[in-house]
Amino acid sequence: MGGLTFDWIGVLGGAPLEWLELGVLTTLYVTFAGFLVATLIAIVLLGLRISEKQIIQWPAITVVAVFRNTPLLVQILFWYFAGFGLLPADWRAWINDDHSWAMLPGGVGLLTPEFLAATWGLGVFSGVFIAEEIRAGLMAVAPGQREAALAQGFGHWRCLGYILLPQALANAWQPVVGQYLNLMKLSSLAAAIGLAEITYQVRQIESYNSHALEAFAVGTLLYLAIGMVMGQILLRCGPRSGTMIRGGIRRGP
Amino acid sequence: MRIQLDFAAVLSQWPLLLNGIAWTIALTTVATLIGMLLGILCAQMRAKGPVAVRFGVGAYIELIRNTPFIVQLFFIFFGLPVAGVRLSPETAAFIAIVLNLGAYAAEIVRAGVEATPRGQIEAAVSLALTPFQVFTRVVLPPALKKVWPATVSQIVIVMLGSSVCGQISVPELSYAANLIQSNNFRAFESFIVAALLYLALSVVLRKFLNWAGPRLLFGR
Repeated sequence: MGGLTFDWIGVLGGAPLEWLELGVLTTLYVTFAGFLVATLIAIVLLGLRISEKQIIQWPAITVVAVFRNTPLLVQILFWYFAGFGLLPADWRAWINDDHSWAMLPGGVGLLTPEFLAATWGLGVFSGVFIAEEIRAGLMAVAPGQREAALAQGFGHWRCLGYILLPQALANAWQPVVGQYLNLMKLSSLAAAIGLAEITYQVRQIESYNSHALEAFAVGTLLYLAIGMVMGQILLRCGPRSGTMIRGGIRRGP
Repeated sequence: MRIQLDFAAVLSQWPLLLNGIAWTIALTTVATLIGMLLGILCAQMRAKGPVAVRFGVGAYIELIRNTPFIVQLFFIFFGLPVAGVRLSPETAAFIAIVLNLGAYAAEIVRAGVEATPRGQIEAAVSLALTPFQVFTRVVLPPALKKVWPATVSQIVIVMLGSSVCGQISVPELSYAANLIQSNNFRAFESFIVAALLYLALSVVLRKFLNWAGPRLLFGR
């Protein structure tokens, strides 16, 4: 590696620094939006999946199988190139208009095809995985818990809401956090459809002043830092197994 | 608005798709074979090696597991030339995918190895097996058997993740699909076809690994 010199100012100063700031903001926004979509999708899928009727389970099983067994990149490309084209023409025109009110702080547009496709793609993909993790957590709850609840006169939904789901969530919280962190990391794939997040900005710096090593090192550290902070926050906010009764998740449905 | 579907426009490009499938399979196979070996080696190094090695391997595993695959790939393909290492897209993809699976496999294998009962190792040592024999004959097979479901999932994830290699123009399946849709604007059809092919590949891969694991690695 003789003669290799590093120039960090070329990455952490001037225009590249501004790009990186924009990239971090975009990654955070798309992660948060994807987080919300993923949570909603997971709730819906879980609701379908734990139903006792086969006809209701079946669509959920199909959705889970399809989205878990195809690459996220293909899904994102699909939503961006094909899914967006399937929207009615006036919707597309409306989304492509300028919306000053839909500008997030820092100048990241919320209503752009790139942001919407990335959010939706990440959300659906992660939601499917999260639903399955929680279902696994549900299956790990001892059968006696359900029987005891039913014996004490709990109905089906109350038993689920007060007894089974809190324990399932506590069982599954670690892998669920892993899925949310994965969502953050996978947001890097949105660079493929031109969403200006960290990976996109790093490549832009690389082609601007060819500081490839420095740019990728900074990008790597940014992902590492965001992941560590996000992981700590989610783990602290979540339920812990063994303490679910006092752990603050007594909230019913 | 009427949508006219024209799958023939996509399927007529079958040589591209077939080439894509071949590349996806090649990337997955190399990742699995070398990546698993790397993973087993790293798991052992992290558990038994000298402190410096342990720290180095730990750093490698955490770095890979906590950053996106696409960033790792870009680092190898776009970053290393600055340091004087110029790689073809294909070589860069193979290196990145092996390093990626290696890190995840190391953690999975370590979980299995740690679950080995002490008595088994003591019994093997008292039968005068060398440390290498103890590891390859006594510790590893049951460890792999325990973690095989997790390993299969990880290999399928890597197969799906190989789609990212198209971003540095390795002609694998998703690259082929993207190329086809940019030639004939049949985005919907070409991504549906690609998704179905990936679906089939992952079902077959899962079945194959569940079949091959017990027969080739840990004897039922």
